[in-house]
Amino acid sequence: MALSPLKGAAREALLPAVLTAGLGLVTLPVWLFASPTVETFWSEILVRIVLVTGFYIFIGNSGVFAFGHVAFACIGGYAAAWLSMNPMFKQIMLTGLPGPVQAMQLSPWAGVAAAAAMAALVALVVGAAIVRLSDIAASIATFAFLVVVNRIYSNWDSVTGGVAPLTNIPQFGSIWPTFFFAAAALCVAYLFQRSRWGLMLRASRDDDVAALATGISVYRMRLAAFVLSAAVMGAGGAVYTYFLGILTVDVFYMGLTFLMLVMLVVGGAESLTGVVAGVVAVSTVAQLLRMAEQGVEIGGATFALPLGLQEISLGIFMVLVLVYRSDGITRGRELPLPGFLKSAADAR
Amino acid sequence: MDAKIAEAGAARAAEALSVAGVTVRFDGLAAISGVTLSLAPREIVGLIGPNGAGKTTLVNVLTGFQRPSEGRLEIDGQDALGWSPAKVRRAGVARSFQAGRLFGKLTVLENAQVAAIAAGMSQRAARARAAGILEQVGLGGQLGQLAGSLPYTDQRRLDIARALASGPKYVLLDEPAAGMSDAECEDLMRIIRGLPDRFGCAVLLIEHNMHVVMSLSDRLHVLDGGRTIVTGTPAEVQANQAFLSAYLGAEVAE
Repeated sequence: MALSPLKGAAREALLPAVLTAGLGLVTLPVWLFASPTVETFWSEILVRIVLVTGFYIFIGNSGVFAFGHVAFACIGGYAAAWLSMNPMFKQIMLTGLPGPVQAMQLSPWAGVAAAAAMAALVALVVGAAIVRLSDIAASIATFAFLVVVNRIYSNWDSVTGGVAPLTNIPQFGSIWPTFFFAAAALCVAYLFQRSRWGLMLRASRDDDVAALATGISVYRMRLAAFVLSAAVMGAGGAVYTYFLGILTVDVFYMGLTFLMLVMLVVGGAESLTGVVAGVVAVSTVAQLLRMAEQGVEIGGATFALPLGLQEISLGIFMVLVLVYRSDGITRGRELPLPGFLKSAADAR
Repeated sequence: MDAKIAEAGAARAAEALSVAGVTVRFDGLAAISGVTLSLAPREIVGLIGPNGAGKTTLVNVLTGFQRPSEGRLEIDGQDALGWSPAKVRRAGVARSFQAGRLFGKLTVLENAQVAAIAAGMSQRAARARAAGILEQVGLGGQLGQLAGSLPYTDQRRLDIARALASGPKYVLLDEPAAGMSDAECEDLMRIIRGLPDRFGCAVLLIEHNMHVVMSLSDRLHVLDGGRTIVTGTPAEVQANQAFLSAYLGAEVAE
């Protein structure tokens, strides 16, 4: 069947468009009507979509489980703080920063871009070594990288302020920039996944020996995905920092890593729809549990779950998903596209 | 016609996929020793021998997966010893696998398309080429299906289509007929016989099915215990005493 380029392009853009529209349809009423608590809850979901998408770009396409990507969010978060914090506070707290950086105060938008670039640069250097390793060794190496970054940022007092929180970081002031970055991350991931590089990388995920025999440079494809996913993680770390307006190093460590991986696995690590589904599902369950921990008032009496049950329950939730739907709740598939567009695509 | 043959003859001198005096040792144990074989453009050569004769090891050498302990590997006159499998592939040598090794979570179309992309084609051109080849091997109706969900014999055909998609000059097929019924074999033979003319490629065919390999091959190369025991046309080989006793000994005695 002949297909006009316009219709083909429309189909190509359909998945991110549908996912973005879905997120937008929730964001709009949240922005118009919701209480600050609900707005915070939803903003956090949007931030997490950026971060989990960053994980997904590498893990979902290469099949290599990288545990250390939160390190790039940490690098991005601090880059954002360095560039956008009130210069007065920088001169007091971060005396080790170069003079020009101390004096500048970039807008959050520029800060996110710079954070992405910095994370990508670090990923290029680190990734050149890490993606050469075989699967499990690569996973362990990325984890080691996370620990190294955390130790450096926790102790380099004159530049990062150590474990003390950095404050006076400007915020976006609206939920829409966060929404924009979530949508942008999904689009970037989708474009990569559909690109020639993405296709070659997904081939190597399924069988790396056959990929080599097919003439695919598995190393180069993995490195490209590693750098791109780090850029998205860096941007996500910056967005998180601008969302909170405050930065502490331990935000970007084990806890966040565990949460992101649960979301990815629950949603289905091999589809972009799974990223969104996983973030929304796990965030909702976690929020309900948090509320239950705080206590529910029924007829004058307060019923509360014991503290710490949230993490335990999340763990059980993940186990249940893995037992009953090991490909995640989306089974690794994307949203079904409308029939007429799909059959046209198959016929091409 | 004469001109064509002369041209082919001239090409044969320079253009070939060849190994000379190749020995592969694993922990001192020789899997193949002193094997010399060459595959000229557009010819079909059958590589046969009992299990453990070293056929797959030889294919691994020819495709860059196994570096030989001794000997030479040349692709069209270039020394290709030590090249990575990806580089060998880009030089025009493609292979299929005994175990299929498809990209299970990609569609049938994407499996062939990605091979054409790796050869440097644009996505659009790769998709068109892949669809054309899949049509020719009889998978035109299953383009959107996931490769992992194909029946066994369709997987073999997809593996061949994937090998062809990059436009190789030499294709190495590792037991493509294994596990196929007679009717499926006939269908496969029709596809393989057409490869030199339709795709302009030479075929090295590793196959246990004697009917398939005898009727398709221009020449045969027989391995036993890692050594070449006979080479020649199918008729010559079938008349050779060493071949009969070493390879089909039991059957002849009956």
